[in-house]
Amino acid sequence: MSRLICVDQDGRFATRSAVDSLSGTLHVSAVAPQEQWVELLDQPVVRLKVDAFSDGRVFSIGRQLRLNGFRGRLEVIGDLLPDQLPMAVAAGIDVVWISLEHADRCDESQWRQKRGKARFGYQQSANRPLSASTA
Amino acid sequence: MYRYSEIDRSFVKERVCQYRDQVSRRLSGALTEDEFKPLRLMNGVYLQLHAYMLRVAIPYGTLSAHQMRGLANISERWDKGYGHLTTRQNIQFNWPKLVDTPDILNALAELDMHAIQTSGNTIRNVTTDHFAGAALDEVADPRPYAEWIRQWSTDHPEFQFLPRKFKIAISAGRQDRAVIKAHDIGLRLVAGACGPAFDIYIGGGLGRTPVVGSLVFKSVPVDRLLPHLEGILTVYNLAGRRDNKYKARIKILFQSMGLEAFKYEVERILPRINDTFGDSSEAQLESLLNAFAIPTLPSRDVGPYWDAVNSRADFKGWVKQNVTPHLKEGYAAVTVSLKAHGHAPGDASASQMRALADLAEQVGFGELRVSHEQNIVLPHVAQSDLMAVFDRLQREGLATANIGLVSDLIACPGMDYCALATARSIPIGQQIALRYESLEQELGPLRIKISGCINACGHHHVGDIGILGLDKAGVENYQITLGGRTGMDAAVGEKMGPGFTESELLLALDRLFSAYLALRRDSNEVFSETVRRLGTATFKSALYEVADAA
Amino acid sequence: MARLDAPAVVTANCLLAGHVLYLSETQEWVTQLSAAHRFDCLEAAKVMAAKVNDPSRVIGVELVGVSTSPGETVARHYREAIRANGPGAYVFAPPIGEGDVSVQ
Ligand code: HEM
Ligand code: SF4
Repeated sequence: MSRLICVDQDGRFATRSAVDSLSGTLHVSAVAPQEQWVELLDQPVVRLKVDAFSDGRVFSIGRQLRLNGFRGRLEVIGDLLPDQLPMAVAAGIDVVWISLEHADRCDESQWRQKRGKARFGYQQSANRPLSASTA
Repeated sequence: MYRYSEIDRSFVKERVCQYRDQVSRRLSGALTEDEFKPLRLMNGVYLQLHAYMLRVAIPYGTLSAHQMRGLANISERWDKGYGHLTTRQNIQFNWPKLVDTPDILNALAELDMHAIQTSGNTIRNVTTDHFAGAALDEVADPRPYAEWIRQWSTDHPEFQFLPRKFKIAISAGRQDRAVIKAHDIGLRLVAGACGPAFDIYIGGGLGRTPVVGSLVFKSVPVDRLLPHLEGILTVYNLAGRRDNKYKARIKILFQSMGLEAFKYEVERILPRINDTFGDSSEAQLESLLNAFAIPTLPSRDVGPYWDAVNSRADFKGWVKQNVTPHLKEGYAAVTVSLKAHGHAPGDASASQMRALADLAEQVGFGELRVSHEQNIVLPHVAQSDLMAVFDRLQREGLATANIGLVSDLIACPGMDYCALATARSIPIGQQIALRYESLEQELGPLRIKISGCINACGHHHVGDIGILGLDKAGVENYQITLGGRTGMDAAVGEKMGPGFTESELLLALDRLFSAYLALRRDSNEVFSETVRRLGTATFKSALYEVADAA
Repeated sequence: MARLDAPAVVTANCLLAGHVLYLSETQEWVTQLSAAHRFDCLEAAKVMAAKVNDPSRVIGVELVGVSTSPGETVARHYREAIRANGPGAYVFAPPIGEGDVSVQ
């Protein structure tokens, strides 16, 4: 069974875990319609599976969940790029689980670097919640 | 003109660093080509047939003399000494090396310019009327709003990985000069009950499936504009198709959902989005409105101008064709044609760019515009300076008096550059321009638009005459559409019959033009009106006359 | 694009600079189509294309059909001819005063 690495909002490689222990994972396509959000709002943890880093739905889903009052932990499972970490954080995503193979190429220093520098966003002026903790 | 704030500057610099890092990660193998591609595209870097291509944003088509000179320098230092102005008010360099692109982006940052979001599946450069701020018929200058949208859409964390590219255009004139109905979102600035407001059109687009946008939200007040855009983008990002790139544009989603359902979905999420836009974004707009105030235009004696008009026929002809009235008396907007007969439409050499920069500095209040028709506009020129402008343009090969005529045609890069092309466009445009050079005054206003494949970058769907280059069993083949229109009554042209080979095409156009000259009511009835009055069938038979007889 | 028939050459673009490359007889990347190795067997060409597909040097490795006639190797399709020879001489606006542009 393939194993995953958990990247936190600061780009740190935290936990390693077997993929089958990440239960209750929903595919982004199942969550994209608005009707589906409502059921998730009271959950302590929501896990979203993304097949390709270019599937940007996850950023809108995260944002909408947060705007609608979701206070739980939001996890994404999929090989996002380090460059997308700031977008994930802005969308209220708490951690990203990536494959070992992906973590080999895109190592911790690359993820840390993306978080290390404060990213400027024009949208900050619009009171965008920056993370789960400030949502 | 708008000047970069420290925020803009630090953001653009930061992006250059990010991009430099991405290039080095690609070269080290940390990023695969598949991973790198969307990142380079977000910074305007494409791979074409023979080279990389860098597309530089000219937001809402406005640039300063200093920036124009900087672009000339870039074209000489890292490219082949010329640039191509595009229908989306950008400039493209066709020959940069990947390894040089971080340095080019850095040079752009020094000019307060960038290539961010000129490509990729994200919100692209916002386009607008090239006469903005100078036009007689506008409600207000649309550019402060365009800049507001640029800032909102730039690096928007939610919308960098959309299903497909997303284009927004905004116009404020009674006449729409920004083709807003051919955009994913078209905004029309109108006079609302309490100040400026926006009509929002959604779902226009050209490409494989051309669609004219529909009016969805009427008279949206200014403070609700960005939330509406965000709501529309959210619905699109969540529901747009990602399985087929030809069905991924918002127009397809919009058609499949229907106007009412789409609107309902946006309205459902709108309240919470509204809450996130505080007063700060309105304060931001307030400062932009000041930044775009048009320069003080002192009154000038127009006597010498009239003397020149009356004494020089070439000058008079150029004024008639290329000069547009200005809202301030004694002033005019000059359209500099980049369509000299036989040249590549929209290309400008470094020395031409410098000459334009000089002129803008000397008599144009330092300002230039790029029009979607691939020309350059000097928006504020005193009539008494026009003669000097004309003389200088003549020396630079830029005084072609053909705006709105046959040779002022749009041609996409086509197969001379573009990796997606199915046929060449530029030489077709050149041959047409040369062939009808002596007839074009007689033919009057007529818009020819040429694309080298169905992606329709040359807007062929909305040309009076659209020409689409295809590959028919290994031979270039050109299909004609008639009756396309831009503006508020935009329409997609009708496909005529089978396509023509390159040489047949010119003969077919000969017949088409003869038919028009024979059938028009009088010389005041322009081509598009005659086609509208008689229907395209009449002209279709003219196109195929000889071919059928043979 | 049309179905690919032999003979064919292996082509790509240079990762660093973007220009067009062809694989030579000695398995080096060269810029001239005339110097490309002509494969009479498509299968062999495919095997070679896979072998030389080094993503740290080239992008878009693919096969291109060339003419069967002996002598200089030329592309069969106009797209590949343009790719091999560069855009037409007409694309770059000529300096002022040299108005005479070839359109053919
Ligand atoms: C040379 C490299 C270029 C490439 C690879 C390219 C690619 C594309 C593609 C794939 C589409 C269709 C998108 C769709 O319908 O989903 C498109 C549309 C378009 N492009 Fe380009 N293009 C290029 C150059 C240009 C240039 C030079 C211009 C301006 C002269 C331009 C302006 C447009 C416009 C106006 C459209 C149609 C409007 C729409 O998006 O529906 N493109 N392009
Ligand atoms: S219309 Fe086709 S050929 Fe022309 S620039 Fe666009 S993609 Fe290339």
